[in-house]
Amino acid sequence: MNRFAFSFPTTEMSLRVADDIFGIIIDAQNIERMERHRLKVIVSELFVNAYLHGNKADPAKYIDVVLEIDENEFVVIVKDRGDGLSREKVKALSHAVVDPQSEHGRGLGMMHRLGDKVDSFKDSDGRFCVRVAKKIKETNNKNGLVDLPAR
Amino acid sequence: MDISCRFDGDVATFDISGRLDQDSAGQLKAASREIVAAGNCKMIIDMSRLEFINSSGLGSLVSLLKDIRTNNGSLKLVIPAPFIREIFEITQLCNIFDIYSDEKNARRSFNEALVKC
Repeated sequence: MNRFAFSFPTTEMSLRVADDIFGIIIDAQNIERMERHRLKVIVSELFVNAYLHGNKADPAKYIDVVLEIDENEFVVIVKDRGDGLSREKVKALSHAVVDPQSEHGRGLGMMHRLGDKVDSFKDSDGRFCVRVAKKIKETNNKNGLVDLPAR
Repeated sequence: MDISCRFDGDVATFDISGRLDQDSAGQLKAASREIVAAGNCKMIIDMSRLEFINSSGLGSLVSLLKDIRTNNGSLKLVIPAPFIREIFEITQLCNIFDIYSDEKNARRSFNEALVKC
C-alpha cells in the first residue's frame, strides 16, 4: 500500500498546491481516467470543506490529509480544527436535495455519490476527520502514468 | 484554467481548459459577466478541453446560467468527456443545463429554438 501524508496551512495557496499534489499522485496510479477524476473530485471537495467550513480560512490552523492507495482501494482522510459535524448530520447533508438554482451545497452530496463509504469522527487530538473510501479498478493502459494537471 | 472567447454572429463561445474549481470559478464569472453585460446573451461554454470540475466550478456555471436567463438569453454547454458529464448527472444539473457533445449541435440548437418561437 502507498501512503501519503500532508499538512497544509489554511491558505488560498494551499488550495492550489494541494490540488496539484493530489492530482499528480492520483494521475500516477494505474487507474482509468473516469475513476481518477472521481478520486480528484472527492479529495478536492473534502479539502475545500475543511478549508471553508472546518478551519474557516484561518491560516493559523492546519489541514491534514492522508491518502492510502492499494490495488483495490483508495482511502482519503482529511482532518481539520473545526467543530465538525455529527455522522448523522454529514449523512443528512450528503443526501439533501439541493435547489438546482443554488450555487453552493453540492460538495458533500458529490463526495457521497462518488465514494463508496463516508465516515466522520474526531481523532485522539480532537481533530475533526472525514474519511472516504472507494474501491478502484486498475486499467490495462500503462502509458502516460503522470500527466501534470493543467491550470 | 485557460479561457478564451470568440464570436460567431450573435453567439459568444467560451473555450475553457484545465480546471474549473474554487480557484478559477471567479475568472469564468468575471469574463462571462462582461459579455452578458454587453448584451450578448447567446452563449456556448465549450468544455471539451476541461480536465477537472468540482462543486465550486458547478456553482460558477449555475451563477452564469441565472445571469443569462435574467437577460432572456440562452446558455449551452459542450461536454464530450464522460468524466465531466458524470458530475452533471450525479448533481442532476443535467436537468437545468442544455448539454451537447459537440459545438456544432450546440450552435444548431439556437436556431431550432428560434424556429419553435
